[in-house]
Amino acid sequence: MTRFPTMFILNSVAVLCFLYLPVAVLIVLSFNDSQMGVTWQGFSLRWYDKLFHNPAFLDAMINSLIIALASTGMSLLLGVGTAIGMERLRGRAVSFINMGLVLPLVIPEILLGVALLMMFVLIRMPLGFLTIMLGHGVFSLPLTIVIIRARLRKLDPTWEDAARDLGADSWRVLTHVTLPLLKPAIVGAALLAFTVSLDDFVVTFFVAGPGSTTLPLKVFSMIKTGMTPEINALSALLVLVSILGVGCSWCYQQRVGRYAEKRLL
Amino acid sequence: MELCVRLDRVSKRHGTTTAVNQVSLEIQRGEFFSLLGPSGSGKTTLLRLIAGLDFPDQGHIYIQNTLVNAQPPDQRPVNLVFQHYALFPHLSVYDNVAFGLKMRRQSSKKIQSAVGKMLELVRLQGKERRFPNDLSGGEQQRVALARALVNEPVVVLLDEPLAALDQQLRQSMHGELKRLQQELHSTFICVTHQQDEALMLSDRLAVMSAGTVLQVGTPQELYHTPHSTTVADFIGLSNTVTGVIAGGEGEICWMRKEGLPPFKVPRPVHPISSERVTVMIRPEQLAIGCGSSTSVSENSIPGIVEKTVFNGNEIFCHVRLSTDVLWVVRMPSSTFRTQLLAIGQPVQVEWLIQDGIIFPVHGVS
Repeated sequence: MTRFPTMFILNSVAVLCFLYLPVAVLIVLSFNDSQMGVTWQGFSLRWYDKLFHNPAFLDAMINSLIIALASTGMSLLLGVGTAIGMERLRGRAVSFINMGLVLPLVIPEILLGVALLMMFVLIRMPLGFLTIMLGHGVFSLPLTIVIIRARLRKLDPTWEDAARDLGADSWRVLTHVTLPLLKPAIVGAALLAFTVSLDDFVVTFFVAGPGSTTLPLKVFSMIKTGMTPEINALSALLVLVSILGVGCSWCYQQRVGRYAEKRLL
Repeated sequence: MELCVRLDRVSKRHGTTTAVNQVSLEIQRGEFFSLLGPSGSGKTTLLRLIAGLDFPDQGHIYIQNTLVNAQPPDQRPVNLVFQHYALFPHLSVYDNVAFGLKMRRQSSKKIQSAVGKMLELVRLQGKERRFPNDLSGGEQQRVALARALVNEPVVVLLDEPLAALDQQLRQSMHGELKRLQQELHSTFICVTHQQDEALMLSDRLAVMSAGTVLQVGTPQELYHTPHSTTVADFIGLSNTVTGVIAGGEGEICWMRKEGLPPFKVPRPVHPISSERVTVMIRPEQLAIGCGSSTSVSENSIPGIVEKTVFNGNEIFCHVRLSTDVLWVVRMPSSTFRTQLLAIGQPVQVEWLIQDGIIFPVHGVS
């Protein structure tokens, strides 16, 4: 009996190694002083220094931030509205919309990219910031709606009844009760949407235009001219930001979310 | 007396079931009125109709002689204390209580003094900055009360206000509720399924069943002169037996029932078409006697003790009178009595004729 747990612990350690070893190697190598290859020649921050003095990288970073912020904002605005609207709907309409919402999350991303590109060309929309932002919206919006609906379903509708009974009209029920109670989900969804947008390569690759290079596109183009430790540094930064974003999203929902779940008394 | 809430043949359906069916009620100003009934009898729906959280399919609702049928809840001079309180978890005690006044755009100075006064009234001063989840059940209950009362509503609606509290807390909140209602001279309409709670707190109450009101009256009226066996069963314990009226002189008739000796019952006030009637006697109006000293105003029927239940201050003695009649006698406890009431012991069950209440039996062939 006692041998089983040991086996399972070893198993999970192996899985974690499998998942994180490549990333760990990448991060370690980003501090390697060596110009080329994988031989360790001492600790150095010079690749980071070089990166931050590279105007092309800084441009890409700013582009990425602008797009991530904009698509997050759009997802929240439309997502909160859709989620609340769906709560009021009943029956078949909801299950139909539900399915429609999850679909973009499972469609191969490359297909999504091609489809978006074709559509933008068809309506003659110039490729650039706006098209990338809309493209990211296609997957961050469903994500946002799913997260907010999950919280919304756990909210006791009597809180809204109580607010109405105490003299709040529908608008103030929304602003004083529903939205504050949804805050953990909204913050969580925002962090996740931001991270997903920052990381996206495939869709961005198809719908980006001149002057709208994002960080993942930059990494890709740098690789084409040869694998340099600078890419390691840039990738390490991206990984760090992503882990932070998702981690914060998770922690926030765990910590603040508890009060909304725990039914009073 | 001034009329506060009037319901005129109000009906409400939820899908195919009729939750409230043709209910008419008049509730006076300053009254503590209870709606008593088993769960699913439509009492909570009735409360929500008065609050404006639901709208009636038929009938009219008047608050202070104004028709409010179509008025949304935020415009009604009514506040509801929810069953599980529905305190806002993201707001402090102070902000919860101040919510209604803020929605009505009162000045912050007025809010401050009103909330302060109200928290003092419900004995929660010093807890303003706490959050609902940090409070005990009793404290949450008092925040919920304060949150409703601070708006000075014409009517305070309470949905099972004490159901979520433990027995001991409930006892002390009984007094608290009554005190608040009297200090504020406000009208309380309280939904409950606890009959002792309803009897102790209410000035008047309505017994509801399956969406209709069976009887309205003071606690004494409902307990001592119920109009039907359903009401009698719901308020307090009752012993019943169904039999046939068979002659008698003046105010008293004889009643016959197979397996029992004939006994005397008061003549029904309203002429009853069918001869079959049910007589009901409360357990505390029965006594265990020896059968030797019965007067003309008393009945005495022999029976056999089947079991006794002792709860500290009372003994409930179950006596079998015939194969299908088992009555409960309630008496103050004493060691002496307990010793007498051994299982299998033959006894006499005695009661005053006037304590028997007669109901017609409906739908009997």
